[in-house]
Amino acid sequence: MKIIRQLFVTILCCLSPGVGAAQPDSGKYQAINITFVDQFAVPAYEAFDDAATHLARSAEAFCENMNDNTREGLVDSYYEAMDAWQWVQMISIGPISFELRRFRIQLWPDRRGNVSRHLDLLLSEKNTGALSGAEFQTGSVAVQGLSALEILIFDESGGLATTTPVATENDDSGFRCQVINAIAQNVASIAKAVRTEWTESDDAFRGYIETASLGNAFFDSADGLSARILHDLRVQLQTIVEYKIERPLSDTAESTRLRRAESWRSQRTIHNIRINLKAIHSAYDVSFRPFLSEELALRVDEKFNQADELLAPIGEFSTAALIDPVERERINAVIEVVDELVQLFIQQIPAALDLNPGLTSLDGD
Amino acid sequence: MVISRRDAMLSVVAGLIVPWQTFAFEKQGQQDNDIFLSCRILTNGSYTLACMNAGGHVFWENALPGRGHGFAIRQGTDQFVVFARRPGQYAMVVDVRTGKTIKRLSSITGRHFYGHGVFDRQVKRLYTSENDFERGRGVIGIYDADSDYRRLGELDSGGIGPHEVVMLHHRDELVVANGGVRTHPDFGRTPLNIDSMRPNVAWLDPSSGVVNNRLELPESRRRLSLRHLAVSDVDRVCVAGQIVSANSAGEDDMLEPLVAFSDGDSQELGIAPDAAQKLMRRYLASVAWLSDPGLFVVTAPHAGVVTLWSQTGQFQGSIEVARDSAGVCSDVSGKTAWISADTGKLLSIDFPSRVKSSHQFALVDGYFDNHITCVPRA
Repeated sequence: MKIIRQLFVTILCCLSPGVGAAQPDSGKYQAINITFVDQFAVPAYEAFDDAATHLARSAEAFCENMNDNTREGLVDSYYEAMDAWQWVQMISIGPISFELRRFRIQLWPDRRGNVSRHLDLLLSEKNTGALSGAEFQTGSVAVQGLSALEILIFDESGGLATTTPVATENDDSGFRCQVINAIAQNVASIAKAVRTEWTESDDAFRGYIETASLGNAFFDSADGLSARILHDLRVQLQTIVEYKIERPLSDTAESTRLRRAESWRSQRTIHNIRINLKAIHSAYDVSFRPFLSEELALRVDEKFNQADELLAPIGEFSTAALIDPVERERINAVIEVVDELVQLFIQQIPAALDLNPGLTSLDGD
Repeated sequence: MVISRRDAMLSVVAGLIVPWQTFAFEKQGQQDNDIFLSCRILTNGSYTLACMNAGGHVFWENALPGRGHGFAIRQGTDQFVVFARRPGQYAMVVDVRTGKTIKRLSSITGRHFYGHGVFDRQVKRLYTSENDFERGRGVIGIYDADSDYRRLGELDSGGIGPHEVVMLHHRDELVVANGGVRTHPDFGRTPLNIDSMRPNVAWLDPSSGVVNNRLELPESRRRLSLRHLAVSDVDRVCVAGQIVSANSAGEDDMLEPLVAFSDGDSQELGIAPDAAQKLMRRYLASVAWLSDPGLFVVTAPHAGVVTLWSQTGQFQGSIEVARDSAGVCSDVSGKTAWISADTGKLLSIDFPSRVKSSHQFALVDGYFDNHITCVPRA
């Protein structure tokens, strides 16, 4: 696994802006960075690890005895794991960036249908050897995570209305269940590794956060790391608008492309967005907010609250809201509010913290 | 009917355009010789392309279908090409006088653009850096500019991840910065081959596709991705790199940002001294050649400096600029470097005095993207 890790590690030192002639207040930035990690990222990955472990147990139980109870347990634990993943989905730094873990947990957006295509291949070949731990982890990224699991658990034709598990007692159920189990074990394994590597391993990543400065292999300055964290929050806001809403929404209800929506089979599109926004708000709250003026902090809070109030009535689990004329109006209002948040994260917040938004050099080219 | 943000932005931008006829590219003063192009990111998240002159006039600013990156100028005509940022799939041939799109190119199936391109010396063919992403192979697309930019074929770029490609001044030879990083659009911009990457600079014969020379970095510097190039008046090349990653154990002690030089005939890249390299903080964004002082100017956005180099690789000092200043180009005279910052400002530095001037433009709120280029008058 170490070899794979070395193959796929992605790192952010090259992406963090450094300091210019004037040395910034590194104490402030160190505080931002460490509170982000200690009060948001690490607890969130612990929660994800717990949820993924629960998912693995539920999958095992389902495959040992397929009945309504175990099926319900599997669905519930899938929701729980996906919710926990949505909470940390925005984080690009740290152990999640090693070994393509982000993509192995969830390959989305999947413009070319890789998940379905590779899953179909896996199911048709019925090669149990491909499901063993090492084989599975080094095989197709597309079938390793929650995106593939959603296809196996939820009925495509029921995508708009029902959430019926399809891994029932049919001819293929045995192998399908083995695939479900392999994915669940794999997600749990990745979640465990990420949790461990943040704080518990010999070379725990938290140490690189604490010591961000020249000579640190990952982050060459504390302010650069703060900018990187802020960048992650802002990119997630833009992802919500551009990918999670606008890409499926289209101009008219009739031309809406629901299958472009995230988690459309499990009807969690809007639900995911609410979690994302709450996560961004929470991360910002513990790390950046204490260093902003009360006026600016309240403006930011107000926008997050507006977005949540707009989303709440749409329906916790409804992807179909994207084609409902009334709800679409509300969703368009959400776009406006989140766009305003993006502005705050590009302009006012970086300016108040003396951080460059890093639009070019944070994702260098 | 929902008006998309992009549609809305087009209106906003259109409302702020200074009609080009007002200035009509007529010379209004010496500084109006210099017409600049840069892609921009507006504060509402939209992407545009702006055409300005050094006198502070904005001729036009038009919406782009996605984030833009670099340019190829078709010398002697009003045409230029703007390329999508990797892994983008569009390139637009644009009339510099009007901002109107003459032709939109789309990458062919299995390819995407890397953000740069160049015309040949006869300005008949356009060469573009592209990714054959299923095979992880860098290619140079060939387009016939006289036949509606029909794609004629492609050359092997001589490596993985070709980024900037330039044409020598004195012979028909392309120089390609092969960054060495394999990516696939299914995984966005995530590097997939960090431990095996082998960046290089390749000199290609565009008529045959033969790689005339290919220079790799020393073993200890192989994680420095070579991305950007400039060519001096006598065809010496300056290449600028950036660290793509450390490995998971943080073993990047040997790695510092790189500026290297070659005349194309040598057997290895001339690497600038480490002491000067460290000044630039691991990430270089653009290179330009200034013919009058005879200097390469390299932007180091993380450090907030530009560094100056003779064409044989002698360090000639540095100049502080705003952090995240990424784009650099020479004006027509070759005496002034223009530098764009993602904070939305333009700076000029005159040589030999090295005097800096800040410039304001009546642009919609936004930021300059990685590159700026100067367009000589037709």
